[in-house]
Amino acid sequence: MEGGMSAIELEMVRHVFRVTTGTIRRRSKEIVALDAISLQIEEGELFGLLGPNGAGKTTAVKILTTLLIPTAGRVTVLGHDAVKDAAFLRSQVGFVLGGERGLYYRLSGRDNLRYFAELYGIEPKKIHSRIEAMLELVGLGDRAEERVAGYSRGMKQRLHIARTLLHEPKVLFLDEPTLGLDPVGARDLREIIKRLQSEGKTILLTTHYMFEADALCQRIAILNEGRIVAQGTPQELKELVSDLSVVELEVFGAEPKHLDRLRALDFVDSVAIESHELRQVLRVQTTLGDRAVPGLLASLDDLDVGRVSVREATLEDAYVHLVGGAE
Amino acid sequence: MIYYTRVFLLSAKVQLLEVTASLFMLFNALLQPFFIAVTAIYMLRNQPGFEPVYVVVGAGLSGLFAVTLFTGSNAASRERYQGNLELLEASPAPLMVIMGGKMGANMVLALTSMVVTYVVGAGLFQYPITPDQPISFTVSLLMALFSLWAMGMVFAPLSILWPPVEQFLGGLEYPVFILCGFLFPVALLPGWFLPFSYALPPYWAARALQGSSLGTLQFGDIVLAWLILLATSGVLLVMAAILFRIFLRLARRKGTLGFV
Repeated sequence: MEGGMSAIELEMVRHVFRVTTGTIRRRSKEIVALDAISLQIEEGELFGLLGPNGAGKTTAVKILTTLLIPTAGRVTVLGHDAVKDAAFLRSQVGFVLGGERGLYYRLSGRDNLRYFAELYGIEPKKIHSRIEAMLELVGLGDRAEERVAGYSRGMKQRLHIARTLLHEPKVLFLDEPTLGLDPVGARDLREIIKRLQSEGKTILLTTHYMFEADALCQRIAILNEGRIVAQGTPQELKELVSDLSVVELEVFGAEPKHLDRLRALDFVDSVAIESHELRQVLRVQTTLGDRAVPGLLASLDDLDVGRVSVREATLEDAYVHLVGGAE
Repeated sequence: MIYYTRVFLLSAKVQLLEVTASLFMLFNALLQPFFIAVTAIYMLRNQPGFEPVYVVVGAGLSGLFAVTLFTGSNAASRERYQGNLELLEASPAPLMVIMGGKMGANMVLALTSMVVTYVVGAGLFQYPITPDQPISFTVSLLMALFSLWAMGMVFAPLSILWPPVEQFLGGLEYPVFILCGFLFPVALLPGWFLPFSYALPPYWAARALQGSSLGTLQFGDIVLAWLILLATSGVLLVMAAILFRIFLRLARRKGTLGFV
């Protein structure tokens, strides 16, 4: 990498998917997955890419890992063009795409690693020691001989991490690596990510979990509908909503009309809803703090309202503020 | 070169472990040739000039071709379904070498169809199944495997771009059986069919195998069939290399390497 250059650079990157439907009357439409995004990630940085489903996070990761050619724009990783120098970059980067797929289930964990070690051209005499080191890193040493089909989701995810580290990549792309893991599995994986960053790896992490991004990432970009809507350190993003408070109302039987009523109030900035079986929690961002509560309750007079609390805005609230409760 | 060889061999090993657990592939390699051999023997055994070796070799070839067709045309789809196609493409190893190893393993599986039809002819029906020219037969079998492997390598890149292609290619199975004379001599077909037969490598594979097993072809004619098999296989491999290159680039533009 040339001196002074970022480890990862995206310059006005745009990607459009063309989707066709119908058998006889073929109709096609274009979906803009990324709309002229630009960002720079420095060497050794752990950078978070946040956004709701369909925001373009995975598209960005696939472009950066050479799996997708952008419709327009320029992408460089370690100073190399991700389209023209794809063959070179493949040995320099590693990636984990979230989920349980991407492994050979009929092979053991160790055999999966051995196969990918060969594909990445690791010297035969080093393969054994690299596999052992990676199995130890992810804590799968004692289960390595078992078929992957019998692994838990967390074990599969840890095996993905081991696979992607085999060839000692300089840059890592982790696409929602903790998605679907139990709390202990997710915590262990976050510890591994922290450790990798302390070893000097450049890491791009996409996640849905704000606390995860807050705890791990030095800088964050928030992506919504293919565009970067905010970028900065977690603290800088929180400051975007420093004048806002969040009123949380526990309600029963809220319908879309109730949300619309709240959104129509002039002191309400945004409203998000979280459902828990019979009850829902409405999170209302407002500049009025606890003075907003009477007005909010008046708008929900036909609902059963339980606990009401007022708190300071967090990174998650900043995210909701920026993406408008799109999830 | 050593790197490519290692990638090829390990990809073959991984595929062999995967494909032997697939009931559909086991049906193609074991049960289908069994049924074809038994049915053909019952149909033809009272006909004048019946040659059990011809039926056994032809039924075995049908299994070889069925496995080639199905494993070749779903090679990329299978990896995509498992979520591995992107991982394979993102590795520094060329996808064509990886798929080459996997198709090689498929040919090893396909070879069992020859064993099955031999067992049907020699064991079940008690016919003497001995090739007239054993060395020529062995070379012909190796050539046939190489040629079908090359054919599978042309099918493999198609499903990178068009996942449903395997359904269309599946329809080629019986026309190829007929056009290549696996069970009935192509001389029975109308004359205008013959150019199509000559253009298909499995026709030359069937000709070399049947000629060497029955002793109906001179050595020179068998060598000619081998040369044609080698030449057509070379053309197929060049085509495969071009298709892999073009289709991978298109797939990277359209985003069809992942789940579609």
